[in-house]
Amino acid sequence: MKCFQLKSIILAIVISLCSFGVKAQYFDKYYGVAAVGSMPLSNREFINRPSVRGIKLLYRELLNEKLSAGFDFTYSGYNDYTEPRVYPTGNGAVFTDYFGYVDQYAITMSGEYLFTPDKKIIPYAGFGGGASYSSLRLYYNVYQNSERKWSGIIRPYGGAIFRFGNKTSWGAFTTLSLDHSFVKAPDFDYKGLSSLNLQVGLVYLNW
Amino acid sequence: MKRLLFLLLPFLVGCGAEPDVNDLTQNMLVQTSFLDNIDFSKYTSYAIPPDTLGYVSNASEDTLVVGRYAADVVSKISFRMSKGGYTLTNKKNEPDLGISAYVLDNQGFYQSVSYPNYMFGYPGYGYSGFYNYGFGGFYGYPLVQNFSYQTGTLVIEIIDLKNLTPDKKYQVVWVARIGDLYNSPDPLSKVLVAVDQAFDQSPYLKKK
Repeated sequence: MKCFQLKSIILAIVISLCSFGVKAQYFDKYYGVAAVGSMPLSNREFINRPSVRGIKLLYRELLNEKLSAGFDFTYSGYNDYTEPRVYPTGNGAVFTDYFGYVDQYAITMSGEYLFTPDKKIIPYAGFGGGASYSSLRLYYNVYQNSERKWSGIIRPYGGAIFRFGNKTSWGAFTTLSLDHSFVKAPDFDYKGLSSLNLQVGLVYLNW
Repeated sequence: MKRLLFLLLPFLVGCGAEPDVNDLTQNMLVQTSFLDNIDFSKYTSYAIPPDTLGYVSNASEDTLVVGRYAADVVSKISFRMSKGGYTLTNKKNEPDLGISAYVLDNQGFYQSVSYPNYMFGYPGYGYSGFYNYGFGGFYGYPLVQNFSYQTGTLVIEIIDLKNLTPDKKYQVVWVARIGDLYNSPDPLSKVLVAVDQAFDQSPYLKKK
């Protein structure tokens, strides 16, 4: 059994190395769509639960052999539940449980460096910046507070494109990004949203 | 077409979701406030209208709630006051405190009650005159500001009958607001739990 596992691992490594060695056709632009999973890294008192409710659309054009630039549209929806507790106020207290919701939409301009654009596996690293629109909502019993805010967002990221073959335009891609939007919502004691995002999706390479 | 699909996808993934009402209404919201500089241990007795709640509505002419709901709520309030060391008496015996409990129904005007130093009265029920509210707003979340229409709130007020203000007005020294009365499952047992919670989160409300 152990021998079989070892052989499988060696085979996988060999296939991966061969894939790196395969030359692929050049492309001049690409489109992508991905599912986004997000882990909030800030304001975790309000929302601490990871989200799998997200999507990303991307468009890139190659500026030269190794540099591309374009646009991203991302959506991430977070929600969490906080058990009932007493919140002291200036001259009293409030007892409630609550549901927190954050929907964040972002449009960014992004540029990335493609390490091996002629290979079947194309690692890349990039940086994006743009605008985000955040909708923050707090539900408690039948009552609700909400705020909607525009803010800036920055996004360093890295990942890889995996081409399905030499003769197909389709591939998969995965990206790990660290997003930080500068949204501030004083009523929610909300000062910026940082999140770690994992994106997995499909890419269409156009040449 | 492919590009159009890409553009539409974000709107197909359930943006703007909301919690389920059944989950939301498992616990009633309980908000309590007290007037600054009040020593609750100096009071001894209280009075409360028996088995009756006031009713203030902009959709009905009724002014009272009677029956089991009102009796159980009043009984719970009396139990907690007695537990705090106060003695139940009637109005003729000149109690130190008066308790006014009423249901606010479908009341848009209630929205501003949590603003500092707001004054208002409820003609037709309870004690005469208006009460000087001295409690402030909230700090941090949750913020209780958006009391909307179509809701029911139980308000319990403790009024100082012994010490009038310089302009001869009664003062509300403690208030609890509990809601929503209508959308919660099993509303009677929930409101009784909420009344308990109102007193639990007001540990200063007791005679020494």
